[in-house]
Amino acid sequence: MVEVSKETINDKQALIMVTIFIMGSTLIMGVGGVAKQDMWLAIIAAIASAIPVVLMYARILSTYPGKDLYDILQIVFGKVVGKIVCILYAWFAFHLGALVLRNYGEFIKTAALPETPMLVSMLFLGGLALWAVKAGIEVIGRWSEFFIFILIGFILIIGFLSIPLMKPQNLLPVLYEGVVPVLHGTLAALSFPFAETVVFTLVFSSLQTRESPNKVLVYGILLGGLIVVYAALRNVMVLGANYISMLYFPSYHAVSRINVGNFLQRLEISVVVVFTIAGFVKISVCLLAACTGIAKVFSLENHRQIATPIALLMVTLAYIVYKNIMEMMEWAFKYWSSYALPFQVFLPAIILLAVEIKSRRQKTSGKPPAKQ
Amino acid sequence: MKSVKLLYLVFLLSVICLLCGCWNYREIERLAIASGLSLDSLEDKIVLNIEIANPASGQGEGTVKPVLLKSEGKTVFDAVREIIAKSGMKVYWSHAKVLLLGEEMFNGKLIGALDWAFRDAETREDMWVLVAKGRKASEILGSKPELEELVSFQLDATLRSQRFISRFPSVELWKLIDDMTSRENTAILPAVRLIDEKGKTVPLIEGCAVIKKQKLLGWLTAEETKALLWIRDELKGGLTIIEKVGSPDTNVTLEIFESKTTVKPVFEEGRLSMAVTIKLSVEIAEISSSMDVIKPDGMKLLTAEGKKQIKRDIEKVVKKAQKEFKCDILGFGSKVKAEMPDIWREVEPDWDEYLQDMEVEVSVDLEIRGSATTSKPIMIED
Repeated sequence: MVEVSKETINDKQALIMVTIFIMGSTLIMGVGGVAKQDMWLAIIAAIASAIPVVLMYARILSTYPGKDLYDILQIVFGKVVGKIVCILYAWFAFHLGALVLRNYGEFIKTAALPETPMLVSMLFLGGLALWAVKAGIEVIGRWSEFFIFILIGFILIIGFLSIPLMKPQNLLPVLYEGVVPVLHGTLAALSFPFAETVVFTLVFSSLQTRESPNKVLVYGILLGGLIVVYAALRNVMVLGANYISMLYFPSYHAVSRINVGNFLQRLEISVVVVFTIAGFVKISVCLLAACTGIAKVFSLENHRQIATPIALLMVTLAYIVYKNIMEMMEWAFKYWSSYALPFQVFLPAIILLAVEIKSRRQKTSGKPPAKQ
Repeated sequence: MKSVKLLYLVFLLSVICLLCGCWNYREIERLAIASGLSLDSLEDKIVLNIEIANPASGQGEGTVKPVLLKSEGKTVFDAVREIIAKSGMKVYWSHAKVLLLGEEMFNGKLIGALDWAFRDAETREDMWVLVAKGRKASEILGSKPELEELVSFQLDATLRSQRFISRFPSVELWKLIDDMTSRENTAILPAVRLIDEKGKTVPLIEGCAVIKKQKLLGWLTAEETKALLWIRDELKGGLTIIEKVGSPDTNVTLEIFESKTTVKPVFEEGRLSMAVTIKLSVEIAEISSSMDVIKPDGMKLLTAEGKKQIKRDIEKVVKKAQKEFKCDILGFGSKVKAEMPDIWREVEPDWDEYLQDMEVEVSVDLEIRGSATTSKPIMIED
């Protein structure tokens, strides 16, 4: 039996994975809507505040190279407490994956296949994610590395074609309703999508060097953030903040406006393609994190054994988690940040503190800091 | 190993059976492709007429013939589904190009008329919206256009060429909804009426309807519409005629190549006023007498006269908006909001009254950049 931790992905692949993960459902759902025409400001503020957060994740990871957060939790907090926190994180990853899957299902149902049961589209994407997880993180990394070109290509082409539709005055007035809505938007954008990268601490045991987590997470956030800011600016300039507030999927409508010479039109399918690719990576990473977590908690040999039941459970959870799209939007924009921030900021802060204390104590007692 | 392979084979074969087609597919000949719809109101019901593009094959080339389907319902969607009961066809909406509204729809039924088209996944939000003037919307949809077979195609073609004529606005559904929700609840829509021509009744788009909060306040003529489009910076081309330049029989037609309007709110001594600057680049397209307006001093005269007349037209429509319609179709409110948010907060509650006595300073910057292919008027000495 080949050991699981032998898998490695290089920094470029990891960085691309983080980037696509951030684009994931964000591009299609939109983010920071409470800030109206200032949503781009809210997103930039969220990126700025996400950087210290991911530096925290990176520090936890690089203190114990070759280990993921599940291992670190068990080293730092001991078997019992560590395993309880592990289960919490496995649940978080599992739940997040289910929610993204549901986003995908709702989007396909609303935009393309209103009469096909949503379960069908979710089952297919879920099945694909299961395949990816069974193939391992190396394959997901290489897949991302290849598909980022398609994503960037689509985004650039759509960006250029949208320029004639953009009305910069839609961005005015800046801060009309004060700073408070922008701060709300910042908090929302921090918890969805930027600090969701906490999931990567659960799978990145396979980076090349000690400095890798730092580099990968920070640059990934910046690159993904750039694309999210671009999408927000485009949507506001094309549609106007007022109109966006009426829509479930603003990007889809913004792109559907493109009509070049009555010939190049109905390009909104590109949004579906981008969402499918990005959503697939996000769901796969979440599923991988959840499977790894369960495997580590129950001391299984490897995560592949339980991937199938967990993937099916994820699809089931996605199917039953909301009654309808209204509930999904309410949860995503109203309650998600209060639910997710403990996993994204508070718990990692406590873990980092514990990690620091533990490694200092080891240093002073003469033993080398934990390795391997 | 052999049994595993057999199992795979059985699995693959069963998959083939599952994948042999879309489960809710519709054959193209069973599809009723809507090209446009009209909505009228009859008591508490909505009367829906759908123009179906019916591909008629036959002698040589295939043509598309219109088929009109009519139904009634409590709501638009109710009427849409009523069509199935009548014709057995489920209408396919993704190619619908125009939405014609009857005048009576503006008795508080506008939202009811627009919501379905805006919400449904099959209809597209770049559908054109028009108001039927003087007739029922269904009569316009049932008229016979000159060139195209289908009224919707004719209207679509006309609205697409709007920038060469500018006598009516072209308004997509999304634009209408965006205006209604963000531009102080006002919007303008192109007006379409029927005219008699060579014994046929032909639809003609001219002028626009002024709408505020689901109500139709009135109509603007073609000339007024052009001036309004100028102020809203929605004029992309078309003609403007400068009358009586120098002599009573000299009418000069200018073709507009570039037009850029900037509206700047000015706040001085506690009063808000608007400075409208229009930058125009035109070419002389037609001169109706031997008067030489191309030589330097003739050009000077033409420029001065042109500025004066365009300014007059624009001021007239500003007055009309202020005094007659008493609403912000000029789009000044959004400018104030964008550039002077603090002042906007104060004036917003009674903006329509504030607007009525606001001073509007119009200045026109007219640049004549050519005279097409000839350098002289046709000289006929009398």
